[in-house]
Amino acid sequence: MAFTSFRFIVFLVLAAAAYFLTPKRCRWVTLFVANYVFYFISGGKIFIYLLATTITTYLATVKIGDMAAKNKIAFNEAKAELDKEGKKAWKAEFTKKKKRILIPTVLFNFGILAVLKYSGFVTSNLNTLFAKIGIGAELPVFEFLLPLGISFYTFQSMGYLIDVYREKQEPERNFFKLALFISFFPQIVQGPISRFGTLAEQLFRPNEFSYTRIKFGVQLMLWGAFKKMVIADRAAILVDNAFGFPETFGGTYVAVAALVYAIQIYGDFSGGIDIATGAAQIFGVTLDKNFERPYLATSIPDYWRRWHMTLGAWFRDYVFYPLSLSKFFMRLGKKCRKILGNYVGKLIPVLIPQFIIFFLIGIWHGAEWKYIAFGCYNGTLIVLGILFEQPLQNLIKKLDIRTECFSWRLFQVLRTLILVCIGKIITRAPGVSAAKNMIVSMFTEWDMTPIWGGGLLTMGLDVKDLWVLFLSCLVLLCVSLMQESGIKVRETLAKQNLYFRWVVYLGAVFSLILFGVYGLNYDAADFIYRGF
Amino acid sequence: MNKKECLKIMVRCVAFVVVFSMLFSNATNLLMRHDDESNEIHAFYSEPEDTIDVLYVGSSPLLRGVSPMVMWDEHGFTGYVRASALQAPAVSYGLLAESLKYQSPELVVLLCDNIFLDYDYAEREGDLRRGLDGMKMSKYKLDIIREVTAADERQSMLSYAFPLMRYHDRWKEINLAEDEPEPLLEHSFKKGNVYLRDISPQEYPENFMIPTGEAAPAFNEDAQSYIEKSIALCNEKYIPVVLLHLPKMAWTYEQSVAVEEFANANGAVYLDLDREEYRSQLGLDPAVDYYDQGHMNLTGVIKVSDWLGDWLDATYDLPDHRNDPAISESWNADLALYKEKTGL
Repeated sequence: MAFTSFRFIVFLVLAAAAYFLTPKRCRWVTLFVANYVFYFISGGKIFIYLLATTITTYLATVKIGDMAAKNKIAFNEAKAELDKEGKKAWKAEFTKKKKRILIPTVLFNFGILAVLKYSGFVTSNLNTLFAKIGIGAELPVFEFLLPLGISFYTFQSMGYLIDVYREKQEPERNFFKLALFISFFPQIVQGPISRFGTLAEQLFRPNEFSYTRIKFGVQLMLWGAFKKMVIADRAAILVDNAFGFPETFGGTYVAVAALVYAIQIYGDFSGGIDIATGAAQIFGVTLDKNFERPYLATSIPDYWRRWHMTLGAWFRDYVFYPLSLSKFFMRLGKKCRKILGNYVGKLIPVLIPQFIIFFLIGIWHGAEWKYIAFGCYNGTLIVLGILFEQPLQNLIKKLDIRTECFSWRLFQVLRTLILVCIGKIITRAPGVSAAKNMIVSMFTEWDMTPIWGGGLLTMGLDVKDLWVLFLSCLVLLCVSLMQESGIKVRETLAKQNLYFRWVVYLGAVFSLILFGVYGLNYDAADFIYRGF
Repeated sequence: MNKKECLKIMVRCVAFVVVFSMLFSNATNLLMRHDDESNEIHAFYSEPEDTIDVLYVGSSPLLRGVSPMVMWDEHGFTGYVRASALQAPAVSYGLLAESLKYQSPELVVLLCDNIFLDYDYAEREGDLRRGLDGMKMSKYKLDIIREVTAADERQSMLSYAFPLMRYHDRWKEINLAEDEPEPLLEHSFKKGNVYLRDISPQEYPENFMIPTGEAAPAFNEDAQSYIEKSIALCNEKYIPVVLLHLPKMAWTYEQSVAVEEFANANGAVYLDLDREEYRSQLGLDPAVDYYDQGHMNLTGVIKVSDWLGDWLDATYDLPDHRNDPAISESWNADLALYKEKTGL
């Protein structure tokens, strides 16, 4: 059930009506039922995987919680007799015990994800390798049907499990409440990836009906649908053409296609997140922010702080910190300082985990070499950025470049955008080799003539569609700039006259109806991140 | 939230929906593809209840080949053609069932040619819309839409219920400065007949309607079932049914015999105007009376309707309303317009 479908609107209205008509103490139950109904009718008929994740997470967290409670009592009784070393040993022993629960559960759940999502990729590559080195064996290549939202709910539930393991979070002892947290329907399809601490309480409490909140939720959904249906799906027509025929569209066309793809994927993903956030808001739930105008970022790290923020935060909290603060990296840092000097040596425990994270983010996007290349590309940019930050600062000082002005900010934004677009080419091209050719052609066959000479019109969109795309992007840019300067758009709109507000609302609805890319004349694109 | 605020919000919501509906309806009228067939199907609703004597349902040969106005002029009985090009059997049945809610005709004439047609909903969206866009929303229309969307998941129920969802991207085709919103036709002087003026000289194929001894092609099961349902529906209401075949070049004796047997088995009368005994009476000139191989042009429709009117009147003793002002006033006005437009 796509977020932009009529079925979803009907489902949402029915679910919201059921929620607010249910007695307060049972509202969370209604939401739980709505989640599973949504999951079932959205094609998630194979919800055994979702159940498996929920059950294992529940059992593991409850067990860890029980262990922690018992350990606390035992520790309190014994601590008087323990010295510092003894306390440390006690703690280490208990951590070991918890790990016996944590590691199999994490492995099991990420194992499901790995098998379903990556086993085909691994086995087909192994077969290629076997053939190259002359081993006759051929492994069977399985292509599994991916359960709806598996990447998102696995990350969310494993994050919760780790929080319980770290004793930052009390375990939820009501199985159905935990199931509700893992399966909340607005976010299960494409995120954002929420934390138990911020989401669960909002889901379990009986939220009141609020006209203003529902109005804001609907407005956000409309805005999301506009980004998805008017911008992203229209841009997709041009992008599909350009990347589908890389031999036809080289040079300048690649630059245009990359920029339009950047717009498409932002409209698509952030549009979907807006719809999810708006839908959640109707139920009184505020989801975590997942985007903060990423194309206004001034550097690649800044970009990744603004793009898919909850995934970045997940990797930061559950992979980066544990890695960079691990004994191994601490020791490595010390050794490197001796060999490579203080500046580089100090950075090593940061750089390697950073690179690993971007490698993992690349793999998270899909089981293809291009995603691994994408991860490595971003990892390399981040590592280079950190390594050369100080020398670049020195250079800027020497050249007496003013950095507190619009032109410098513009330069930074454009530079980041170009680097981001190159990354987009890697993920959108048919393969790594095609991506390389396209990037090379973009820089070597720079010729604007085909674009001004009507070449743009050969990329799949006619003049009128291009105008709609351009003007919609302009609207998106204006809204983004307003938000960037701290203006709260919905709140500002709410303060305007009724007539003005209605013009805006009706304009939004009709621009969706008239300029949305849907129906038989178009192959409406599915949400891209739904597939990740 | 107190009662006053609640009421205020409700009033605003209702007002918003009203404004939205008005704009939506205007946008629909502006962007919807205005097809003659949809218009004629829609104009049927303006006919006063129980004033139509003969109801014709079927696809394009009927749409092009039967003019109720010619029959009114000569015999004084009324009729309406609810036809569209390549009309799906499900649409024909739906149109018939819906029409019988508004009218109690003396006779129903069903075009039978489509009984051989394998209808693929996925490839016939345009043809389906010609029939459905003119229909008001009803149980019958919903049944058809359900069947279509079940067979072809690309087509949505919503787009049939609200045609703007289908035609929304026609803003690219129209001239907003000149084109004005145009609702579906409310009243038709043609009574469902969409005539064509072009002439395409034809020749009867060699051995046309001569028995060959070959087996007739099999009926399409769905089409057969819908025609059977249509006949059963008419039987329920004691309305006689004529299964009609209108002149066209691609027709065989074996097909004709097969349909005749089907009609006899189902208690309907079969009338095949390509059979020699009727063809000779029609006075059609293949060189001037055809629009193409399967359709009459204006001169053809007048000749066919002239003969068919005589036959229907003689066979079913249809009423003559020419002296009934309640009906004749409007029909005569329409006839005058029809004559002016066609030169009848």
